[in-house]
Amino acid sequence: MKAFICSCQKRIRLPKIKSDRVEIRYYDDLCSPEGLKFVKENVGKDEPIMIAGCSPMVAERYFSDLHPVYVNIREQASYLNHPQEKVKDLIQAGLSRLGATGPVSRKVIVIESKRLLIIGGGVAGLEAARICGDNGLLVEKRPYLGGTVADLDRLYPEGTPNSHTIIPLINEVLNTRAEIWTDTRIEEIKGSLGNYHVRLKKRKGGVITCEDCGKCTEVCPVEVLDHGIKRKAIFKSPTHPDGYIIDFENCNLCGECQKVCPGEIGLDPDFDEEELTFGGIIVATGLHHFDPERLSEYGYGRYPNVYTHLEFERMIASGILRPACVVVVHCAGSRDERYLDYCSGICCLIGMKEAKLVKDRYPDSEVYICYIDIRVRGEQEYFYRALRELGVKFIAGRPGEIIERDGKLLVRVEDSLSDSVLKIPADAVVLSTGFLPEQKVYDKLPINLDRSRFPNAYDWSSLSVDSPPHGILFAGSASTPLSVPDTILDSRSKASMLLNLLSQDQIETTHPVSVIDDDLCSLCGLCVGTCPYGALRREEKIISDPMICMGCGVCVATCPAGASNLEYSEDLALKREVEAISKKGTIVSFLCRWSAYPAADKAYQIGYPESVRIIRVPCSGRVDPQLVLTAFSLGAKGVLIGGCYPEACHYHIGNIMARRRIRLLKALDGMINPEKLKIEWFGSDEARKFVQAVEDLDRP
Amino acid sequence: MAEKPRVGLYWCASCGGCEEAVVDLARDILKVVEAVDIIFWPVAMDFKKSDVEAMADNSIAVSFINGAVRTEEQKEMVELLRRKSGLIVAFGSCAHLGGIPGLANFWNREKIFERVYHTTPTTVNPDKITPQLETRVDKYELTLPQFFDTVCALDQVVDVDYYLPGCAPPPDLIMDAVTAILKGELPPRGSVLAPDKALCDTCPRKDSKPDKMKISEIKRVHQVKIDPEKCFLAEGIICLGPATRSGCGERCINANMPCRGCFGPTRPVIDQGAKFLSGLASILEAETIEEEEKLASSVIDPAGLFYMYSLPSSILRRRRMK
Repeated sequence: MKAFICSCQKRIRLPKIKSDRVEIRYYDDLCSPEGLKFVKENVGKDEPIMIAGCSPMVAERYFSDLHPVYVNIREQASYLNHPQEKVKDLIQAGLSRLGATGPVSRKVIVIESKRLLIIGGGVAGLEAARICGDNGLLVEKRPYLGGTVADLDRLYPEGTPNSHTIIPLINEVLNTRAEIWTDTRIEEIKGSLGNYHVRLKKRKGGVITCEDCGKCTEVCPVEVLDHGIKRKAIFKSPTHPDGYIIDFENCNLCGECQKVCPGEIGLDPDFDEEELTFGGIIVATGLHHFDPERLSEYGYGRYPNVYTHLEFERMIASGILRPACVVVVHCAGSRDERYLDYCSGICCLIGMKEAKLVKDRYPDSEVYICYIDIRVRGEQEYFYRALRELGVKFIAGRPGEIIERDGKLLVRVEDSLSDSVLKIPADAVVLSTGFLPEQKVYDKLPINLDRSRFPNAYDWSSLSVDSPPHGILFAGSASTPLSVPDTILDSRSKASMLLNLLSQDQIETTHPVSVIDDDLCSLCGLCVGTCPYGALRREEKIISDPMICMGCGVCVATCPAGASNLEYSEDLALKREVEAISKKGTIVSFLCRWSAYPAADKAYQIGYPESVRIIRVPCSGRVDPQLVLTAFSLGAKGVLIGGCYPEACHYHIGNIMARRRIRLLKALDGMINPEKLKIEWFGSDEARKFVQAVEDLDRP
Repeated sequence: MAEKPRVGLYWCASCGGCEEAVVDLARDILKVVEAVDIIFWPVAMDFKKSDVEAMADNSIAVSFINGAVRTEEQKEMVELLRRKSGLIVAFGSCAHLGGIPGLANFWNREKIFERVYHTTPTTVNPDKITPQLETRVDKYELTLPQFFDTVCALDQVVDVDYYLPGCAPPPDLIMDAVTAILKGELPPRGSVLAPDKALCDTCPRKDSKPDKMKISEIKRVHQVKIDPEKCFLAEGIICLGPATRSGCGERCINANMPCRGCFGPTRPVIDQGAKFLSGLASILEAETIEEEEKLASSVIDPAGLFYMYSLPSSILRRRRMK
């Protein structure tokens, strides 16, 4: 074990430190090229080291791959003009911790396959396939490509026909020779990054050779209502493949089409199963529309002239509808706790697109948009103004109800701007509904996902630089509702990320993770539900997946048996540090590395009491209550836990866990003075708030 | 025939249940008696302190001591036994952790005397008499041992070689310990002679645990009809099983009562109460801070509950008295 103590170009007066166990080296500027060389040359593989000098917020730029124990004698002592004794104390505490911390394990992931599986043949899947080229296999559950966009007439805001986007994209994908399987299901996915075993089911039947004559459609007896438009069970493909395709979900297998077909049609509805290996998976399963039948007050399904935006768009584009007066209802079911409690973000522009579609076709028609707020980003605001100029009337209110009277729909809405109740007689009402993630494939993915909404937590952690690399990425509207350009950008970046990752033969990471000691774990299972990332699962033992774990340590502090540990912030290492710094009268502060520690780092400019001692933890949720009690038992005057503001925790819920534990600790009848135990939230610049907090604790 | 190992048994602040546990060995006690020579056991046979004082140091092979240490007399006796014994085994929860008598650490001598000798409804003490260390009756000087402010676990007074946990230790663990001592097959000094894993490992209800443990309402045993098949915690009933060493034979669980922690913490844990508290806090299911507050405050007497058996051996050991 070695300790490097740096004077920061003689800005820190260094004490003489003695240790029997640790070799101590002094240096004046460890961060200089010579200094970096000096450290690297003197450190053995996986040898635990300590670096004392500036704040780890700075030192981490240079030494993070070595995972040293950092001792901040600059911002926490020298810059504060605190006595030399404190510098000594801090270094001794670091040495105590150093003796109890083990090396961070190397996780080596061997990339067995460089192929990518792309689930979903919409815009996101197609863009991913275009990026992957012949490294990709795209699977689509429907018999044709294009996803949601294939069903649309046009895209917002300008109303570009979808053929401008989807057809060239499909052609590009076909040119790159990415493999495409339509009418295919995912049966099972096992494995992890670099090595996913996937069982796929590919429909046996289908149109084998097609002369594009259309006779099959003429004789097909099955009529299907496909989002407002009638078609047969065998029908002309709107995109790729070319020619006619079969909708096996509705086909009755009567065989009439086979009789008239000059080519060849197979009607076997069963599947062939195939097992393939992939290195990574792009989930581009998109979204589905909120079902407005649940909104009984709007009469969808009861009144024939109340449409979803998709139905309306398809019907008006094909000339079936010629309404004289249309009301578009925004936020139908959205931002409402009874239905969707969130904003889907793209439906305002969709609703406005439908209004423009009517005005483009029938300029004399009357069009109303009822809205709560118009939520559009950036320059798209012009679209709202353009529609007003076209004569679209905007009403600031969500309709209370829609009733039918004399063959017309009557929309009752309170206009909050004019403070009046309007009753608009309409030929057609368009419900601009929000979106839900398409979750059918979630069960098959070997990751843990929140089913109540879009997989935001997973998606964000997959992009975070301090997370382990993810082998499964969500692209496009599978991650959150996105416009077509945003979908393309998102999918392009995620496919590139994965390809880049898979271009290596093996991936090595050394991020600290939680490790479970199976000899101690009783499978009580308390930890499993606390992981914000679903890295823990219960099988014959509790498994902590190092490729999902972000290293917050929430589960480690949760474990009632001490069977779980966090690399680099082990129970014993933290205990030793607490024991070393807790003395009569000290204020022991456990500060999260993301917000609270950076705030304290800046507090030297204001100054704070000498008695303050700081322990850096990955998250306030890592703080085991035993550490707090240890500090008090050794005479600490106060204990401060510092974390990020409630919604802002780097690990989503670590700070809330910390708050609950502190809440119960304070309830330990008379064992602790609750006024001397504090949990406080910090922004990374709130140095003043930190000073205030420790001064409060320092008061007698 | 070689001389049989000499064994002592002693009790300090305890209920007598641990003595009962020895008798509960039933027929097995005959094997023990055959193998060892019991040379000191005040509860069963007539010995005096002077008998022990007369023995040579280290002449007792092993002393099993139950009960916490709360008086000067108990301290003297365990120090004496320590000198005379090769091994000291802390026998039962009170010697191991402080146990139920350790709950006295929520008060001090003054408060306890006040309550016991003056304010309990059944006390009749018009002269306000309180025990004194020395009292003169006629020409005689009567003395009582000092009653400490703080109850101690045995290892806070003398070095302890092994711990036999439980309130009281179950017969199979006692026999295992005796056999190991007789054969000289003991684990490292300082070990607790029970399995390392927590109680959930052997709990008959473990298969009823849900994938994710969450508690949205805390229930107390007298308020609900307890399902005899289901995990207590999953049902919202506080059970210290996840924080408590196994080996007890799940006696409480089988009697449809949740674990209260008498076997103490697992090996890496010092403070059983704090560790359980942390685990419990982490599985509370609350959307808002108000719900969180409501749930947290529905834990009645958290200190007494989490530290029911382990207060003296916990990190803070006692309540702060003004």
